[in-house]
Amino acid sequence: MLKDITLGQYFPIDSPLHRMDPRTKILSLILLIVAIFLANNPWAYVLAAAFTLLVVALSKVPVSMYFRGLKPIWFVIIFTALLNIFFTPGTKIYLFGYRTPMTWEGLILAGKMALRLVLLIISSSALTYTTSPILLTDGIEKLLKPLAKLGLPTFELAMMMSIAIRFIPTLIEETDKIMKAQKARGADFESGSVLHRVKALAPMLVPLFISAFRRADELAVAMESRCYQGGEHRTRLNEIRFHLIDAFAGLLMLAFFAAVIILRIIL
Amino acid sequence: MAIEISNLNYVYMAGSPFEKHALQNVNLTISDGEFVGIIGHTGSGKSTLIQHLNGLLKPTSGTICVDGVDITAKGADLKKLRQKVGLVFQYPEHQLFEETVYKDIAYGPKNMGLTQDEIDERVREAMNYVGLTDKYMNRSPFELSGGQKRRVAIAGVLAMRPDVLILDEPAAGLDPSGREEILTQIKALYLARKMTVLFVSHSMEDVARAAGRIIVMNRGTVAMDGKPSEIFSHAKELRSMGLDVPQITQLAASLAERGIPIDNNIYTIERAKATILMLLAQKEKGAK
Ligand SMILES: Nc1ncnc2c1ncn2[C@@H]1O[C@H](COP(=O)(O)OP(=O)(O)OP(=O)(O)O)[C@@H](O)[C@H]1O
Ligand SMILES: [Mg+2]
Repeated sequence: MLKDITLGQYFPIDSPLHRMDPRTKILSLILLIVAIFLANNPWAYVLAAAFTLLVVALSKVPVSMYFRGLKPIWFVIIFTALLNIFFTPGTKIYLFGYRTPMTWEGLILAGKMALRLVLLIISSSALTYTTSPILLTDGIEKLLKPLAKLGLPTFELAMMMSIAIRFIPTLIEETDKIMKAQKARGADFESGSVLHRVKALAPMLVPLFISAFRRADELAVAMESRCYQGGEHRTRLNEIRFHLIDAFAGLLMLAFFAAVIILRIIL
Repeated sequence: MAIEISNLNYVYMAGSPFEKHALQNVNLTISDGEFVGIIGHTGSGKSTLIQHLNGLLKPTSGTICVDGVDITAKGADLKKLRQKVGLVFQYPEHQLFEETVYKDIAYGPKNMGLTQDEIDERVREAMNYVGLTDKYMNRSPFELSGGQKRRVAIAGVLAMRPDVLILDEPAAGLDPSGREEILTQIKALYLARKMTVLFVSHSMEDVARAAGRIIVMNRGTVAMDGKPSEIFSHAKELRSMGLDVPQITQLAASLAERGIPIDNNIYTIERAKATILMLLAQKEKGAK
């Protein structure tokens, strides 16, 4: 289960998507998400799905990785789909003699919502799979730069983000280790009543928090002892720059976005 | 409690670019009552191997039998297995969580569903084994020193009265006297409880002193397996695996090179001392 959490995991290969500027990818993702939520007819959905598939293909990351990213949220997808199917008012379809009737509207809504969720996860994964955490936060920082004039501490925000992203795998690994150690002492995290399972979490969460605090402390000391100072005068080893490929990608993205809007207006 | 491992393979993160074949075709039999030292360079698969022995990792292929029962089979009783095969992880003090030492050690027995009296008995017994006196019972484990925390953690596993005790680097990160104490206690425990002990270490010295059999891991395979004297006679191979023979064995080898008739299977300081004193005595006698 823990090994299925792939968000925030970078997939180090070479692909057109990997070579793009992180800013292009972040802005494109935002546009794509907006487009997915603006889509309100079948054609727009088909278009959004096709576009997402194109992104997946361009990323050269194996499709199985994307499926793995979906695994932890299958439950949410199916649960919301069931709620939608049975609790949306509309034309009733009685199937298998269920007490609560399904409705056509519910079925369609469920399909739409499920598709939206899946596309959302896949497209966000495409960003994190193809962008290393450092580039990602560099990109976010650059994009937030204009807000620095308004007094927003963009540099610090970006730093906090990169640290948070950096420590996701570490914490997962740590959780895995602690879970194993407690299992070796007979802990049972998988069966029993909900109350029992919540109680069983304490032996895992307490050591996890302690180690997270310890790590934070160590990191702070390490940064300070190397005279870390953020902010204005810090330069970078690798500056991020827009290339021709970003122009192509940007145009393609805008064309797709325009198409979704047009479909929304004319249909 | 014999353990039989046949054709064990394990792959981490199969199907991703981080795929790592951590164990390759491992075949081992560990008999009842053995004290086995497992050594190998960093990343050679030691921790991966031992996590298979109580069912925390499922083999990618291969089988493991503990006490004649195939633990890799579907529906194997892992809870029972984990009581029989106690595993102490690397830096076990990182897993302490209770308010008091007593409660933390009682966690394992409690999970076994024992009565209060039995739990109490086992906690006291385990504390006794690792040399923690009663005054620690109601202290918070978090205010103890590193070495004391480690003992609490080891006691937490011992309190389940396992037949097989597996320790992953029990002496890592301790000062020399702390190492010494932990190792001595493990050895004493082995003799007192007559359990099977598997003991992972980086240190040839530690393994040489305690174990009756040494397994050398190299890049996910078993490279050597035998008595300490056999293993340490292959100094060159060991060096090529990034390991070394104990310093005292090196000393004995250099002495032998200079023509001193010293035993070639010396790997503890005590033994070296006795042998050298004996040689000196012989020499004196010869001079007279
Ligand atoms: N959770 C994991 N995910 C992916 N790879 C792993 C994981 N744990 C270990 N590995 C890899 O498997 C190999 C064997 O690791 P293992 O921890 O068994 O080595 P070890 O012999 O115990 O090393 P050490 O002496 O450093 O503790 C290493 O190359 C390691 O990088
Ligand atoms: Mg290890």
